[in-house]
Amino acid sequence: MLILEQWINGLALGGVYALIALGFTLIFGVLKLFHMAHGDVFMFTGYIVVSIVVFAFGGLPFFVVLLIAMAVASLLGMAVERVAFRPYRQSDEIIPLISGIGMSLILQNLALLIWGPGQINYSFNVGIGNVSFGGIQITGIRLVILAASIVIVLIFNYWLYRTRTGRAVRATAADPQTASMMGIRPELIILLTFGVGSALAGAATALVGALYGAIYPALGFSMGLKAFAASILGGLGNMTGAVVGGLLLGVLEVFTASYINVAYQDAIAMGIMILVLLIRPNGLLGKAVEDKL
Amino acid sequence: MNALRKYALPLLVVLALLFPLVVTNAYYQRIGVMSCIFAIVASSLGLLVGQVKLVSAGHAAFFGIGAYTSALLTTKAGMPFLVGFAVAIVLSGLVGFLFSVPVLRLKGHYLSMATLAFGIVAQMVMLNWEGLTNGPNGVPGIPFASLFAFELNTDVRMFYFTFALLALLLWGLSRLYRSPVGLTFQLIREDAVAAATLGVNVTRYKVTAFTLSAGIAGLGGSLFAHYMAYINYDTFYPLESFMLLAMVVVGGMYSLFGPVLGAVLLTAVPELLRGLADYRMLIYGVVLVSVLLLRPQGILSGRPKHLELRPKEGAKR
Repeated sequence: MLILEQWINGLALGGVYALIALGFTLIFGVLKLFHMAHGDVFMFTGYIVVSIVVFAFGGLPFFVVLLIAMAVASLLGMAVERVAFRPYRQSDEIIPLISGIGMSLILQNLALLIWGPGQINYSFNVGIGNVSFGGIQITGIRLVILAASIVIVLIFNYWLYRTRTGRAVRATAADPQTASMMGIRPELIILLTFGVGSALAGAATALVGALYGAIYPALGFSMGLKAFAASILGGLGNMTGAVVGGLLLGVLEVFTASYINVAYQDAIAMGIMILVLLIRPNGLLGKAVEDKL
Repeated sequence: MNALRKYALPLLVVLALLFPLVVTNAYYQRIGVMSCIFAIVASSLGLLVGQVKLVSAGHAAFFGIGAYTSALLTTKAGMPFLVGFAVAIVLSGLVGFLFSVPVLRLKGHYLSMATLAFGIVAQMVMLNWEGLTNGPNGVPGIPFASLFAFELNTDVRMFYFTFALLALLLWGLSRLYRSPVGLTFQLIREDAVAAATLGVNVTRYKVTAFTLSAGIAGLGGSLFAHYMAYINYDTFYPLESFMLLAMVVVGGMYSLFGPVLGAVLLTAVPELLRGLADYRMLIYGVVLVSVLLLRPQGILSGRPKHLELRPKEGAKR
């Protein structure tokens, strides 16, 4: 029965990774660019949400907190796009990578200056107690996380594959030039992509907040790395891949922590990333791209 | 302008040679030495990023391997500095070689991610392999660098030593960049497919560049360890790799002196703005984003104009 509990714990953690990875992989899909500050958008949003929601208006329902977090992250993500990526559309691919690193440093250190280096503890009330059935105990938070991630992923999928806007995003990802000939404005779509992708990270912020109730400036970097690992594992630019990769990473981490050694929990992501890059750079679900060399 | 170009280099060398004699303040001399060491490491990364367009986001790992190798050989095994120094170069070069062979099949961002992961794993090893690296306690009591019996035990001596090595390195790199091998590097940078059709073994050249670069970074690491006398895993954090990348890009990655200028600027300026210590990393971030905005080629450009006119790879999308 312990196994089942761990599966649920792993999937809940994995759901969070999946949300961050989904935003990351979406942005990669459209711009073919690694958003190095994605994890820091996640972290910074967490700080803003914690200071606004928890300390200023305590006791908001969790659903509202989630929406606020998504809105904040979305705005922040679009701002980051404007400052760090917009000017470099025509540049060599190294340049936006490096300006993304610069943006990551800026966000991390702004957080450090504003909220201090220490960890801030808080709690979101998700409104569901522990659930037990058939002898297993599951914390309500994990169920909420699991349910919320599933719902958000489904809505996201509907948006991307069933709406006109979603089709415009996919068209831009496939071929921006042709897309713009069809009356799509690529710049607008890119901005929208960052808004949506970051909103997913914002949702993850609220969910992680409910789970751990702690935030610190370096959290963004480590979460960002895990999202990179998850999306590479699933295949970069592949939406299903990001979700599968995130869930798999979450489960692997939980099982490593309980059966091997807690110390290795964070090493798993890096190990997976290197292994996948070496053995199957296109990821589990990625299609082989034509290789120029 | 031409006269300036002609005399700029000798003038700079003279100024640098006079620096520790004129500036006797130990603190400033220390900044001078650190600038030289980081100029060496940044130049090694410049070789990789600027010449072959391999963006390593984990270069601090090789810097760290060099530092640890040299530190452990001199403290635990009691070897003289020169042995530790030589082994540091060879070992970090070897690790770079072994890492690059499988990884260089990757391109662009994928390669950067793999190097980033490598940098993080390397730091985890430094932290957790307690039997070898003393784990979180680091390696204390690293002896001064010495040339046989001549101890480099003052900031002035260390400055001249590191500056001489930097000058030697830059001379070697300038020869390399204009040699057939260097031109092949640049050809690969501009168009790897064209290089391959001309019969260039692209992978072999990339592995060569990576090995060389890792070895030079290890050299810098060894100097760093013996100058600081104490190292621990904390110095070789992924952030350090980003700083190195920042130096290269800010100074100008295509230019021989670009990484040097970047290293000096990003080492000295934050130190001189001591009052802004809390904002140091923030300044780094702002500098990175804004220098790219003002001069995407870095402060020193160094990339032939006719190459800039070619539509960039991003332009097709």
